[in-house]
Amino acid sequence: MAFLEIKHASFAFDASHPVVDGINWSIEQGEFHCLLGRSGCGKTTLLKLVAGLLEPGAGSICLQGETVQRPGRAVGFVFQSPTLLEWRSVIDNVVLPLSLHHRIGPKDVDKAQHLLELVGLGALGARFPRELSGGQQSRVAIARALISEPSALLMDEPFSSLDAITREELQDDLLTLCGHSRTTVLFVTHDIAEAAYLADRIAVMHQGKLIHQETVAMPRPRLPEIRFSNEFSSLCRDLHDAMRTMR
Amino acid sequence: MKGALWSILLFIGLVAGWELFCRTTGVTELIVPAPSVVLHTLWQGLSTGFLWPHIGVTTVEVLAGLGAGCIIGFAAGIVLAEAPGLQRVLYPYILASQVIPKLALGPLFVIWFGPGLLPTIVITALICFFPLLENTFTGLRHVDPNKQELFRMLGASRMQTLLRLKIPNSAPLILAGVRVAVVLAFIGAVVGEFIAANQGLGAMIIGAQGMMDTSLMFAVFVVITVQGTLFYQLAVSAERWLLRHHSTGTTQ
Repeated sequence: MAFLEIKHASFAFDASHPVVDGINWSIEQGEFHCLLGRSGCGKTTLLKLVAGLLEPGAGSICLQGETVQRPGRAVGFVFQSPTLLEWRSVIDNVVLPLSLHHRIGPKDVDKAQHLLELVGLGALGARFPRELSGGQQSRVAIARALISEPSALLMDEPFSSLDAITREELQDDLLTLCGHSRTTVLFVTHDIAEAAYLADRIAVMHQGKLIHQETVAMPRPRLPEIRFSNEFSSLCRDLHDAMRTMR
Repeated sequence: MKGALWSILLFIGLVAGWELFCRTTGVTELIVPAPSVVLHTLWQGLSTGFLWPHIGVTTVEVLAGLGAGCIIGFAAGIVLAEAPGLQRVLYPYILASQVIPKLALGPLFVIWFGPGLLPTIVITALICFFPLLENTFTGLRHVDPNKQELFRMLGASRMQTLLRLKIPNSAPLILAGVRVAVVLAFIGAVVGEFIAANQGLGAMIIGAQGMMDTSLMFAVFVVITVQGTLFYQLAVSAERWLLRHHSTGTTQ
């Protein structure tokens, strides 16, 4: 039994056009998987099905052997935009998931502070979101998703609005963080290089279907130099071709 | 700062022009009293203590009407935004209650509530109610769907989503409604007193009219203007402070 199993999952907003069409996929604990596809291919919808934000029309999604029916605390979600509450300080934003379930104590604040240090924002806890750069806001969003110690992290193109260099820094930090905590990650992106750099396995989606899958053999920890290796280039080429053939 | 300076210069110029107009044309005080005469009347009213009880009455009416109107409007906005079914049922009635000129209800309120402060307070509250209702309703209905999804993801209850996301997120719009209500409250209170009171600044204007005391009328205008501006500025300052971290705030 895999950690996360997607079985024949389908979803349609209207009956004639399935957005997610009979997807099968499984993720083992601690693995980092990427869902790669062009805009509108249904990858975000699939991610929301996994999160329990949407209910599949057919098929099922099982997390640790249990069918997902609604959002659960075992799963952290990072949205495309940082979605921070601008009227709350950075540290308050990070503890938000906990504060909805119990009164915040000094322990929780310490934990949030520790997470902020891990994402490189240890000194900015008292600031407010609009005083931060886009990259810093994304870091806060990641810290917020990690504070309830989720066993799985779902990420919906969290870095797509950042510049290339900031994005690479965040990718490295994310890998370090998830490597430490052995968190299972399902990461949605339209960026081929991003998928190749981050993932153990990559699923390519097109019009709601899985059209291609790729196991990434490059060793961990991944270092920035591999972006310029032949292995990396040929992987990107394969992915690129897979996405190109379906038009 | 430069704008403020010009504003003050303009004020001095206008008052000087007005004074000059009165002195050169010899227009009677019954029609247009000179600023110096108005100032004298105002000073007398304030120093003899004649004006103060009326200022007090109007202030009480404004505060009570504004408070009640804002609270009821805010609460109604929340209820309508959270219960769309109820909104379809009640909205036509709420709209009807706003379209009817509330001042026309003054005489009725005197019959219902007697001649005291209450009729004017009710009129003021009715006027302040609507901007709060509209702005609260609109604000709560237009919360960023991503943030709502975040709260769903975090397993927040409906109450938590309302109190910790929707209301703070709509604060800029709600407080803009309060700002509008402050201005309307003075109109409501003063005009309400025309019809339904024998005390207060509005009643004084009617009284002054009866005695053909135009300069007293002008003195009361000055008091109302100063008081209204003061209240408005207070509302703006409170708003600025409350929204100091919102991205739409004006600080920093």
